[in-house]
Formats: sequence, C-alpha cells, structure tokens
Amino acid sequence: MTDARKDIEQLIAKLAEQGYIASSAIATTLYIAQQLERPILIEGPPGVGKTELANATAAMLAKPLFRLQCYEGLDESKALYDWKYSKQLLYVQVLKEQLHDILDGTDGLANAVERLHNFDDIFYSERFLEPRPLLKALQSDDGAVLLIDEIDKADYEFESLLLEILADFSVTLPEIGTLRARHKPLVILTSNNTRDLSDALKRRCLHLYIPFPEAKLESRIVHSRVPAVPDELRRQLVNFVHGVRELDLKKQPAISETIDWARSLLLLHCDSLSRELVEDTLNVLLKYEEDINMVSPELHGLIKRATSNL
Amino acid sequence: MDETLLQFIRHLRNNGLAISTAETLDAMRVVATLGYSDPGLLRDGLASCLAKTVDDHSHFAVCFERFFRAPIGENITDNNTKDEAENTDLDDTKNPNEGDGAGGGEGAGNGQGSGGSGSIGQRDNTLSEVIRAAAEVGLENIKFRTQRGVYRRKILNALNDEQKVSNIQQLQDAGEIEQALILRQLRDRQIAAVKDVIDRQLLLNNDAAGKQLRDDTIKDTSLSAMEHYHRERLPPLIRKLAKKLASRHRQRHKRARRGKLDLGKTLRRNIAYGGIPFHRFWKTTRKDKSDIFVLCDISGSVSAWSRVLLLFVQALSDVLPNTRSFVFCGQSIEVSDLFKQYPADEAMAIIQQRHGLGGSDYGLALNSFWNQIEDKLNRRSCVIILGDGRGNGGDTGIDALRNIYHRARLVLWFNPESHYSWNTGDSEIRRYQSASHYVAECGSLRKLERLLDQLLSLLQ
Repeated sequence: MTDARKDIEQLIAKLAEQGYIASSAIATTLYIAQQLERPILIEGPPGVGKTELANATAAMLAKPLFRLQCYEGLDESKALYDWKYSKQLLYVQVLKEQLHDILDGTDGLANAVERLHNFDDIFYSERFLEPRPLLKALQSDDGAVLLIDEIDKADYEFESLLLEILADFSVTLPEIGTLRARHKPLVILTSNNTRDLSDALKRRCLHLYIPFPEAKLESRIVHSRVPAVPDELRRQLVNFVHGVRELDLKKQPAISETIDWARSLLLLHCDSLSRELVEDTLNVLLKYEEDINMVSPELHGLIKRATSNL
Repeated sequence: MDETLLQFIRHLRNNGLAISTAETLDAMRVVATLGYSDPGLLRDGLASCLAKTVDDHSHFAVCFERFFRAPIGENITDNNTKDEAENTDLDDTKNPNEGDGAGGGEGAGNGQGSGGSGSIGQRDNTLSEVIRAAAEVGLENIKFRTQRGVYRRKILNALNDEQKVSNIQQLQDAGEIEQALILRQLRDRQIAAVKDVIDRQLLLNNDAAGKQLRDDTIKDTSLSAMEHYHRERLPPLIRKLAKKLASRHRQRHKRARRGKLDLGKTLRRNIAYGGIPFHRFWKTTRKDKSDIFVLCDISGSVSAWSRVLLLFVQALSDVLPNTRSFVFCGQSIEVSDLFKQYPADEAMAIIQQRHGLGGSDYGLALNSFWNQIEDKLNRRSCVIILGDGRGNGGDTGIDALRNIYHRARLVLWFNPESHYSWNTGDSEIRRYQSASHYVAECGSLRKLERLLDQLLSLLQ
C-alpha cells in the first residue's frame, strides 16, 4: 500500500467518525485538494451530500466553516466586504469638532489642506471594514473551510469576482490594496448544474462529481446516520430506493430522503417492508404527486425485489 | 518531463476534452503526489483535475481505460509493456507494482504474479523494438487513416527492413532454407506488430484532425445538399456553436441592478437624522426582457432547417430566457412544452412525427399564429419566422404578418433558400419582405450562427 493510499484510507476513516461515509473518489479528491491547495467544485444531483461533505470536512479538521449561500443578485458587498458606512458617518460627525483643533493656527487654504494630508485615509482602513464570509475565511487565523453553496444560482459577474480568491487566495480592495490569506482556506464550491459554469472558474478548481451511491455505500450511510434501523430493514429499504431510482421520475429520491424514510420507518416500529407501509410513507421519499402516481402501480414488483434475498 | 502523462493528455484532447496548460500542470502535481502505482487512485485523482463536467467524467473513464489498460497484440498479457518500452525512465516506478497488483480489483489482467516481468519473450522484444522505432519516426503525429501506409514504411525503414529482406534472399540463395524460414517468420511478426501499433495510435488520436475538418465543412455546407450521414453530427455541433454564442453574450446579459443614488428619497428619509444621510437609497434600473417567438415551417422542403433553428434556440435558452416555439404545416402549434419535457433531439422527433406531414399553408399558419400570440405581442417581442415563403399558390396570410409587424419590435424572416431563387415560381418572399424588418438568407450553419449572434447583440 502506498503512502498516498494510506493517507486516503485514513481520510475516509476520519470522515466516517464525523458520520460522513466517503467513497474512494471523494476522499482522493479531498486529499489532492489539500495537497495542491486547490478549491473543489462538487456537482451532483440534489441531496447526495455535497454540502454535508463541507460540514464533515470542517468538523474533521476542527476548523471553522464559513458558508456563503449563493442566490441571484449576490454581489461583493454581501459576499466579500462592505464599508461600515454608518460608523464612518458617525465618526465624521463626532470628529467634526476636532477639525478646528487640528487646523488651528494655519493660515491660508493651502496650508490647511497640506496639514490635512498628513492624516491618512483613516476612514477607509481595516477598522471600518465589514468582512463578509469570503473575507472572513481569508482572514481566519489558522485556516478555515469555506463553503460556497450553489454557485450556479449566482450571477456570472459573481463568478468573475471569485476568480482572484480561488486562484491566489487574495482579495484586492481598491481603497486598501491586496489582502492575502493568512492561512489558505480549503474552499468547497457546490453546484446543482442548473447552468454551465464558466471555463475560467472550472479551470481553477478540482472537479468532483458525486452520483447517487451504490447500494452497499448507501446502506453504510444509512447505518451511520440512523444506527437504530435493523440490518434487514436497512437492506430492504436501500434496495427499494435503488429500484425507485431506475424509474423515470421528476425528482429522484436522494440520500437525504432515504435517511428521512429510514427514520420514519423506525418511528413506525416496523422490521420489514410491506405494501401498506410503503404506500403510507411514500410521500417521505417522493416529493411530487406525479412521481407517487408513477411508483404506486410498480409497488408490488419493487417490494418483491427489495425483500428477496438476492 | 513526464512523457506518459503528456501523451495521455494528448489522447484526452483528441477525444474532445478541452484541457488547458494550467490543468496539465495540476495533473503533473497530482501524479507527483499519487504516483503511478495505484491505478484506481490515479484515475480518481486525474479525473478531478482533468475532467470538468459530468460528460467529461464518463469520457475520461473510457480514455483512461483505453490508454493505461488496453493490451496490444493478442498474446500479450502484460499491460505495462507498451509504457515500459516507451518510457524507459519510468520502468523503476512501474515494475515493482506488477508483483504487488495493488488496486487490481478493477478487472483488467494486471500483473503476472511474482517475477512476471522477468519472462518477456521474443514476441515482446519485437514489439518493444517496433515501438521504439515508431517513437523515432514520430508516429504520434499521425492524423488521418490514409497516412497508415506512409508511417508503416517509415517504421519499417527505421527497423532496417530492407536489410532483412536481402538477408533472407541471401540465405535462400545459399540453400539454408530453414534459417531463411525463421527469419521470414520474424519479419512477418514484426510487420504485424507495426500494423498493430499504428492502429492503436490512430485509435488514441481518435481521428481528431479529420473530425475538425468535417465540422468545418458541415458549417459551410447547405443543409439541403448535406448527406444524411453528416446530419447526424449536427446536434452536437449546434450545441457547441450555441455554447460559444451563449458565453459571448452572457457577460453583457445583466446590468448592474444598483443604479445611481436616489437623492430625493435619500434626503427625505434622512430628515430624522438632521439631513445626514445615514441610509442611502438607490435608483433601480429596470431592464426589459425580450420575448422571442419562433415560428418554423416543418413541411418537407425546409423541415431540416427548422430542426436546426429549433435546436439552436433551445441550446441558447441560457441567454434567451423567454422563448416560445411554434411549428406549422397548416395550423400553427406551440411546441415549447415538448422541449421542456423531453431532451431536444427527442422533442424534435416527436414534433416531426405529430405535426410534420403535408405542404405548407402560410395563410392558415400566419393567421392562427397571430390569433395565438396577439395578446402577448408588444414592443419587446421579437418574432423569428423560418420558411421559404413558398405557399403553393394559396393564401399568403400577409395581413396577419403585417399585424405582427406593426405590433412587434422586430420581425425577422429566415429563408434557407439561396438569394437567387427568391421570388421565383410560387415564392412570395417579396410580399413577406414588405411586412418584416429583415429577411435574411440562412443557407448554412455558419450564416445562421452569424444571424443569431447579431440578434443577441441587438437584444441586449
């Protein structure tokens, strides 16, 4: 076993401690991201644990997590930094009196301006800077995990804004200059693929695609999240969900729904799937009326397949 | 420099993955971190920095398998032989793992057990000789299938084939038939190996140059003259062009939402603070979004073009958000929903099957089109009509078109016919010209791309 493989196995074990069951591909990408100090762009259907990976990683590294939820219209004053305008204004008002003292004894406008020049741009210093998640992550003292969630919902301009941060881990503020990260944060971007991201952004990131997991992996995930579910029921419900995913649905049930379903079945104290039970709880798994209508006639076959010992 | 990795990246590029220099550098660092010894690990690691979309990931998996696993020649079980011969400097990192077989669970015959690499037979020697010769003559530059003969000759020359032939001849002349037979067999084997190596290289290069040439030709060919075989390549090409257009126009798509300072409102709201502007208010800029209506003739004569335009418009949905598509032979029918439900190709097939029979009746089509969109049409609407304007002598529907013309911001008529055949026979395009802002000829894909490019600039 090579060193890299050992490290990655360790990573998987540590993530498992946080309740995140990672596949080898996920762990490899995470490992490389740490080694190369590159951001990770995670894509995949909703509910496969993209955001959860960031949470688990932050917990594993014992570093603070800064989360930036993207939406249409997000701009740098909400994502990066803003000036504490009210504070600036208040100081100006309070310090108005001070001006008289400072300018005392000068004669002529030129001299007064000259004396004022000796004072720096105090109102545009770091004291008046209101850091937002991106800047906070860069400024954190011993590293952080920065989660930029659903980047595909933000505008294209925002992507361009991110480029400098993702490539150099620095930000240029016109009034102050370039701020560099004290410790390079681990950056994780997630996308639901509602639109194509720009090539420039993709080039700077490692790309990780998380598909729906295989039955074995999903079973382990359910076990880690809802340990109280009996083994037999777990096997059956995971098989059932996998059967459902093969149908043409509007929204495929994701891992989070499998977990929810496992919890509901646990609440109902059942040890194996039965038709009535599934019918009654199908709305936990499927979120559209059409999907439920599509699955209902197939129930018999699906349950039979899920409960058979294959 | 890591020659294997560079070759692999070239192989990926030939298969249509766009890989930049920066990504190549990343890949090198990944390889330096992970090493070549664990194929599964290497695949996941390289995938994360070389494949940047979901599609790319599946392509990548296939390419990786082909490049690192594919055995050459029928009797050779050791997959690493080729790499070994090509990169003698990498032998040290590769050989130890053959016995190890780490990550070999992937199914390919990896490694020959302990001491496997020691038993390289004569056949492998032939092969490695051939590969070395191939590298000498620059086989990786082979582009077209037709070059096979040239490269075969070059490689054989590099292997001193003529000498061998004359040797065999000499032996035969001298009566040493058996010796000659052995030599002849060796030579035959060598020639077969050369053929294998060239075929494999062609496969790796994936005929990329040939494809590029074909794509360029397709863009300029008139669709009516295009072979059926080439039409199948159209949808991916259209998507590619649309992506280019979309990325060009997306930058200007949205203007700043925050406008200038609203002085009056700011002053009014800050009276409480003695006129000191603690709260600022901004004028918001409201941007008009254009609605686009596309009406396509899907009767026999121009159906191929309608297909192209509809696919194009669908692919542009990123930058053209409010698009409604209609098709007609007789009655105009809205098909926007079909495109939402099905993938574009499938939707086109359904449309063609449901509505696509008969000759075009422009009168009925334009009148029913007008009835359907009358209440939606305003100064922000843009109407694109695709048709050849040949109404088989029936009603032209010019009045309906004139109504649309007066109401809409822009009425464009795309005519797939060449400019010279307008107004000949039953073509009514001259009359339609009087009731639309612009009639354009869109004889080839490249012309259509240019038209849509101009349209997008206009709409911004």
